[in-house]
Amino acid sequence: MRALLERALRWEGSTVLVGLLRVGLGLLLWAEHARNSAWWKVHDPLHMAVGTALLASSMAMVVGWRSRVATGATAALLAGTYFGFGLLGGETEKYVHAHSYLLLVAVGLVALMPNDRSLSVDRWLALERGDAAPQRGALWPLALLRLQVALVYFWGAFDKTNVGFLSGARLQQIMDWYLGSHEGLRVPGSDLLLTVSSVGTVALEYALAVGLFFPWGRRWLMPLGVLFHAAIYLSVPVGTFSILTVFLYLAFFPPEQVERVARRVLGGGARGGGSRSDKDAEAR
Amino acid sequence: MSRRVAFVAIALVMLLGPFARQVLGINATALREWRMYGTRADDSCRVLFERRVGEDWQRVSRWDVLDLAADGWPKRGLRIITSPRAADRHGRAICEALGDGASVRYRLRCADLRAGWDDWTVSGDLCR
Repeated sequence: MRALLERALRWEGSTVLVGLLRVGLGLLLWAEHARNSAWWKVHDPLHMAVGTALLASSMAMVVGWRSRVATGATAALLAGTYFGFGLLGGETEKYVHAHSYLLLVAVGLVALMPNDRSLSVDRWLALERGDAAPQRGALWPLALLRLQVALVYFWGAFDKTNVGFLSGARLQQIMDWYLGSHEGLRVPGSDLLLTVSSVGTVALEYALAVGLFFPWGRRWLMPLGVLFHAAIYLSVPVGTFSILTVFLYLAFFPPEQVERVARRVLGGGARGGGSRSDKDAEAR
Repeated sequence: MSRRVAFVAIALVMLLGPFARQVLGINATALREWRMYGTRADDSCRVLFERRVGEDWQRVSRWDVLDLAADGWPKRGLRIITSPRAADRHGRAICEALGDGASVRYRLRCADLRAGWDDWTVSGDLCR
């Protein structure tokens, strides 16, 4: 455990992945919070001010202008909406959800990384000035982001590890509620299918909690995870949770691999370089 | 040192928050639990109506008899039954639709969050 901690604390790598996370999380944030923050929706000065500030900071975050400050401010504002408006102010229906918390954690951790060094206006300006830093930096918060995603799966599976869910009953009830009626779903064999799905859901979530950390897990479990989240998104109202979780799978790829793919797709030249060999970096 | 402290502190909140809420049952809302749809639809019942045909009871769909989807996807209040009392009321509507001489009953079981479903109960003839 101590060795893992030391390794995480000393982790340095490509910041292209961090830039991608910064941009994507900013866009997801708009999808999640726009309806809560627009002036046509909220009319008191405090909510309007927070909503306006959140839009401004997240726009700066997406384009990467004053990236680190913008991302930090965005994280602080998200914390304000979740804990302030949501938990203390009683607006739990609007602000306190699993996906809003996960978004807050993800943005907060990206704020702790050098998110200005890649895919940003900041980098462009630095290149123009001739003082651009290498696209490398400390990535210890990325280890925490991976941990958070894994824990979402683990504790989600833990919550479902009971007779009520594994028997298929809870999924049947939820599907009746959204897609069916007191007679069940009007699809022959649906109850049996939902029972199988229930067991499969718990098994997949436990597997994802561990497997995402390994190359074999990314290869075989990620596609299943994408299908799993797509099915959830189509069946029940989950807000941005499905797409956010799938987007955060990006955090599990080795940063150097992400940079190589990005350069290849964009038609770039040599790698950003660094002190680790490719194989050593890929092992992360 | 500050990096180490921050890392450990954040990791502990991530690890212990759900443990405190989901295992120990501590109701500290500042800590996040990862339960999704844990209590949604927890008051819904599965209700299957039956009509007497000779000596047998055969399934009859309230959805079809009352044409619930005539005006598009029916609202949840029409689709979901949450109590035996509501089932009685809907059963009597089926009796009216089927006309004189019909015999209708239901088999009902309701949601139980941990056990899944309650046991089935069978009503009497709703048309009498």
